Amino acid sequence: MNSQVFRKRINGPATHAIVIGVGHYAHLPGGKSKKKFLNAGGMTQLRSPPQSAKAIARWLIEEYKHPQKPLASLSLLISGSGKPGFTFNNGAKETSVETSQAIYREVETSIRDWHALGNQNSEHLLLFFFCGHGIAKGPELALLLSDFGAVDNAPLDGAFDFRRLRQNMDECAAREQCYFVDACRVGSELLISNDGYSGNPIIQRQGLTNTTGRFRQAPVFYSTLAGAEAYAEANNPSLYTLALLEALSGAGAGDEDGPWRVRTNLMHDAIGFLVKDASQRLGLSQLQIPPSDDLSSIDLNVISTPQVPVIVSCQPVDANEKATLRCEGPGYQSSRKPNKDPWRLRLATNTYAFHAELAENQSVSRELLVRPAFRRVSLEVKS
Amino acid sequence: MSTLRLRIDQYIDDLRDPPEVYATIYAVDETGARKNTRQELIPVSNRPETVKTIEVAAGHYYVETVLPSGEFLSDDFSIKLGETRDIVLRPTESPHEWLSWQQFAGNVQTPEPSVKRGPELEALRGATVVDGRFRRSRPRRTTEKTLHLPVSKEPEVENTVRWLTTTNITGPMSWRLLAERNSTNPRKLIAELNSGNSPKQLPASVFDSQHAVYRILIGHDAAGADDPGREPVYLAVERRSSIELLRLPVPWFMVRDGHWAEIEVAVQDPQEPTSFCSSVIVRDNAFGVLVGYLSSGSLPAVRQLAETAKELLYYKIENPFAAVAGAYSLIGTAQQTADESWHEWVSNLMHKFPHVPDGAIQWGQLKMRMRRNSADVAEAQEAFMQAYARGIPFYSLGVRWLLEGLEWVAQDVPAAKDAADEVRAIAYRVNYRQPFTILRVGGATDV
Repeated sequence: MNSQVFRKRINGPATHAIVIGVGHYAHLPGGKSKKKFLNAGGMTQLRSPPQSAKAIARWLIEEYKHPQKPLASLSLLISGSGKPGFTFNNGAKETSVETSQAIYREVETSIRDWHALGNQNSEHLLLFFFCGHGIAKGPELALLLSDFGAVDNAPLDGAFDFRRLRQNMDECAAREQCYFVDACRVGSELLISNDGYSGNPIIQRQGLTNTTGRFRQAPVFYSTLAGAEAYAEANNPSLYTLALLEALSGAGAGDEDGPWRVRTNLMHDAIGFLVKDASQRLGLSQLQIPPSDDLSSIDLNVISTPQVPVIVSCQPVDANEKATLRCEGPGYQSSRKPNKDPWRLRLATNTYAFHAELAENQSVSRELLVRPAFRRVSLEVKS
Repeated sequence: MSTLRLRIDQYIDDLRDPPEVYATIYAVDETGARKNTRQELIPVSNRPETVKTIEVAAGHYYVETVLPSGEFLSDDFSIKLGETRDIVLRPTESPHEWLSWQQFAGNVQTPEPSVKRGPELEALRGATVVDGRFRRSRPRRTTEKTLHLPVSKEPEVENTVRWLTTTNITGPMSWRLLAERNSTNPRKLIAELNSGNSPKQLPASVFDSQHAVYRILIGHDAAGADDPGREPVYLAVERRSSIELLRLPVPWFMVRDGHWAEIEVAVQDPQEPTSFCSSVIVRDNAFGVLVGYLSSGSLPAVRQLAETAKELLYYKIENPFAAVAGAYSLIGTAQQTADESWHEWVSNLMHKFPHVPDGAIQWGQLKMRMRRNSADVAEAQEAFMQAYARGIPFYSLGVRWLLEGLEWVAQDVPAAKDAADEVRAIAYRVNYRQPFTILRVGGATDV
């Protein structure tokens, strides 16, 4: 089955995306297959990745606006416990499609098709998104697909080698490639006992020279550092996916060169902050800072009015429990009742007045400009 | 015109001249739209008189910066014609003044917080909420079952660092020597890596129950050697059943000050048995910042600082370790394959500093990425093989790039396959959260 759920004829440079979300692992505990992988090492079924993949795919189809490289194709592969359907707005009409299963053979075909599309024009931009289980050893990373563990003596036949895939994609003509990997990178005895074999890289090196005149740019945004774990709220997109969507929607935008535009180097800072904030909010011990060893700036989508994450808090923070917080700006007004946590808002770029009202005749106000990547508003009250 | 006095308010322990980071200053309208932009290096100091003074037109401004730790700071303000205004950005405070450099570089662990609310969370690999706290369910490991990990406590943080004074970790033998250590006795591992001799125990400079800081000064004067840069300096940090091996970038010459920099090693009580506990920073006000940004992956920030200081970094190359830090960013953010002037700097690092393997790795990586013709390919192949022969890189990024390069070379040069296998065995053991190479040696569990 062809995994493309969206295609549009574009003459010239374009964006081609592949989005993979693996929630159902047939051979892990809780999976539908009777045959189970015996050395699952704590891995079980996931509910978040299908939601994450759909959220990213929907955003790319409905919201992504790249003036020079509009979205020309999107492949979506999902394995979840529910129906394999995907609904999105294509222009004015709602479209429902069936998605391909995120099993090795389907993913292999789709990645090779995606590579072939990238080979058509060095100006193309390729986007890659994966959400699911990942196992790692040092720099090696195996991304696990739905049929991981199907073969007793070759469980990694249901996985692919992400490091070598990305490395070998250097020979693809498309010079701009962007990778988002929303998976744990926890050490595994499976890679240890196989000398780092992490699955098939899907794309093999052919020894081609680079005739494009440009370096391949291929930043990777991992959900977490090696050795740490990524977390998600079940049945919702993962924390990382939510952070990524916020970065794409404005937190990762800058206007240094004209209109508001999301760029990979700005996304680095924005995702770092957003994931860190979510980790603190949810009481997670890991600070998930996305690293990258290739962080050249790739222009992504343009935005008319960026939505910016804002965190409002009294100082001292104990005062939040007694303070009504208010925010007012052009065409905007909102308030929050006393609560011990800081107040998290998403505001369009502009100037806003922030108020903390503690009791009659006791209030603090600040007028602040809100711009990407985010704004922290501290309202100092007398204790 | 009006006058701005800019500063980042953070105490940085014991430095005469504070480090500086770039801040972007936007002139904006009331909706936040940019009218123009400028970038300025501003000091990181708790001293009110240490400021960057700049002249600006009256108007509204927004200033932002990202610290090496990844912390983002911003503020906005208006300034009237003829006014002088202090703008002070305030980052998170360090738990101790003596940990300020480590905090600045993002190396200080935060305590495990408790779960305040109870959303249903799932770890993409085993984790549960137990008694209101987040616990990771550890995968079952065959090795742990059979080897029976010792249950002894971790060594105390203030008494755990050893200097391998007669180390045999040099050249191409380094890879196999380190990979083949399988003892679970830290003392035995240290002796094996120190030619059978006892190492020198280093005293902690400052410590509390969870953190210890060790400061080391190695330069021509201190070491008393003619050319101390050629002798590799390794420290070993004892863990309960393994060691963390630290490759120190010494002697580190502070080009602006004309002195040798102190290297600061921090050891922290690890949050998990398999976590790394050590980190290394360089107390160099000019280029220590550059290394800090490398650890958070902010290569554009490294590049910006490196380009600003290119005369200091590359024309005489008085400090090859700082120069290679900058070169990582130049290569990691490069766009065009046409020859550029900075390519020669990378070539110089490879040819003039054979004791710094990173230069050859960088030249190989640059040529591999360019790959315009067979000459580029041949140069890359030669550089990667040379880098392998030169031993362990100073930067963790170098280990990754070397492995990637040798695997690429191995498809055409059969001899590179064995080299790639040896480097891979070490690459599995490196802490990539740290800019300098820190790896786990020996022990019952792999990292």
